[in-house]
Amino acid sequence: MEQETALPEAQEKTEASHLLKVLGPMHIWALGVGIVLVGEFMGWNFTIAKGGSLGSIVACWIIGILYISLVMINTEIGSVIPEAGGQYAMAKYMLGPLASFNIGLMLVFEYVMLEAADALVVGQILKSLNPAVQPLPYIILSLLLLTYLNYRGVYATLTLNFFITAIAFITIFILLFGAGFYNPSVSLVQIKKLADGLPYGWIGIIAALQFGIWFYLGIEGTALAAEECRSTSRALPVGATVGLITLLVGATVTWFVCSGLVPAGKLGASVFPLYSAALATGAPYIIVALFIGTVLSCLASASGCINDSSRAWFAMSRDTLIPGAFAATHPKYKTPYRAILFLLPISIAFGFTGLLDQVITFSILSALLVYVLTAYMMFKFRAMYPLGTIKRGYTAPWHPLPAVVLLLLTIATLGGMYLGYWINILSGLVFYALASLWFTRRRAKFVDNSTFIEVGASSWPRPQGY
Amino acid sequence: MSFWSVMNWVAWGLCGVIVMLLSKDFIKVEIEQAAKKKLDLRAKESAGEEERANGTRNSAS
Repeated sequence: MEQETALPEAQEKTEASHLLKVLGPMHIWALGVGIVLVGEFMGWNFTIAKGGSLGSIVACWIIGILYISLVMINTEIGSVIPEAGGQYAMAKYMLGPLASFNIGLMLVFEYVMLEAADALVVGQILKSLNPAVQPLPYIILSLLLLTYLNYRGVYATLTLNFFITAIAFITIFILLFGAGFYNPSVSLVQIKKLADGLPYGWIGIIAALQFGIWFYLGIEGTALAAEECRSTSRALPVGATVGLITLLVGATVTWFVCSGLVPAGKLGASVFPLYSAALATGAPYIIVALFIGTVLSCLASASGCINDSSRAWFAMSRDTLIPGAFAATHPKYKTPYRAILFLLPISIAFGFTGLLDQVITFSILSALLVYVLTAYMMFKFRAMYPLGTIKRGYTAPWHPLPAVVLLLLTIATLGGMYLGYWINILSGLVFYALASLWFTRRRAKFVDNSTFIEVGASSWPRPQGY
Repeated sequence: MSFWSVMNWVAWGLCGVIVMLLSKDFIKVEIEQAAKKKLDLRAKESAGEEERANGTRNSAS
């Protein structure tokens, strides 16, 4: 009798904390590309300072290979796990509570820090309009506005994200065509004259890798929306793959047009490389377009980050890895409203510091640690569920090549990061070690291991070796 | 006061409006959920009492 009453209650609780299934491939594209596109408007150009013009494009493509591998792995595992939380949800089934707690925390910090950085850039670019502009109210306003949108519903938020991301992406092509690249006699693109080759050799390429990540950082966030897709097995592979192709094209065009319009020395130190390239054309309509593109890309990125960080926090709470209060969904909008609001002041606090490079470095480090664990999860996933034992929405070809490539390139990038930011790497590792200690000592006892993997365990066959 | 100084204050004002909208809805939802929880608890208690009373009646008959 007790069991009979307990079961509907548990079902009711699970249903109450479920998110709306309203997203299609377009929204997944908007989420992934929206988060990342800002990296083409700023940050990537430090690859030129570290590795020169040629080193920059080599780093861009090497990191592109890293992300192709990552998206292949994410899409295969993510299409099987239709739960919010992305790599966190994958780690639940592959690695257990402690690793999934760490991955969840890394995802939250990756996106919260990125969100703070986006808002900081909005403040900085508005300040460039006039010295009387105070960045702070605009930083806070953009974060509040996007939080409000995310609070009110995922469908409207990601539909808006789609349009602002698309506009920002088009502005890159306005610059490309405005510079007349297609006609050598009138073209402003002087790539042979302005590029500086490979001044520091191969070591320059290794050092440039960490900034090459800016071209793609966050595309893996598409997996975090798995639970909200109408058809996860369709929306996730289509949205993520088209998103990655968009970014590869956008990254190459960005490098080409910026390297051809701005001298390498100046480009490597620019805060807004695409905007600087627009200024170099001297055409007012291009300058205005790229100003709008930079602001919109920052807003799209911050909005996607709010979406992803709150889903990771929500999923951790629902699984009792952190206090259960954050697992509630809004009765009307069906969004994880407590998680969304809880993360807002944290992001604002990081925005207040004004330390853009430190904030971004911690975000990148968190992402790289997740990638290392994702590569390991792929090996484990294929060992637990070989092909044919479970229905996959997508199957990554050439296994184990993607996992090996992901692991090697992530380690190489961490090596490059160590050259300039070893204190940040050490501090980040100490932070996650302390968080793990807290989890083991204080939180692990609250985790109910039987319900932790209940959803997957009830719908999949028993894995091999278990 | 320059145009941009006015815009700074407009931005602060909009921040205030959004904070107000967010907190208004959040407080409303939290109050509703607390009331719903209380009602559920009361319904459960009364169902338990009814069950207990039925049990005593059955054993007496």
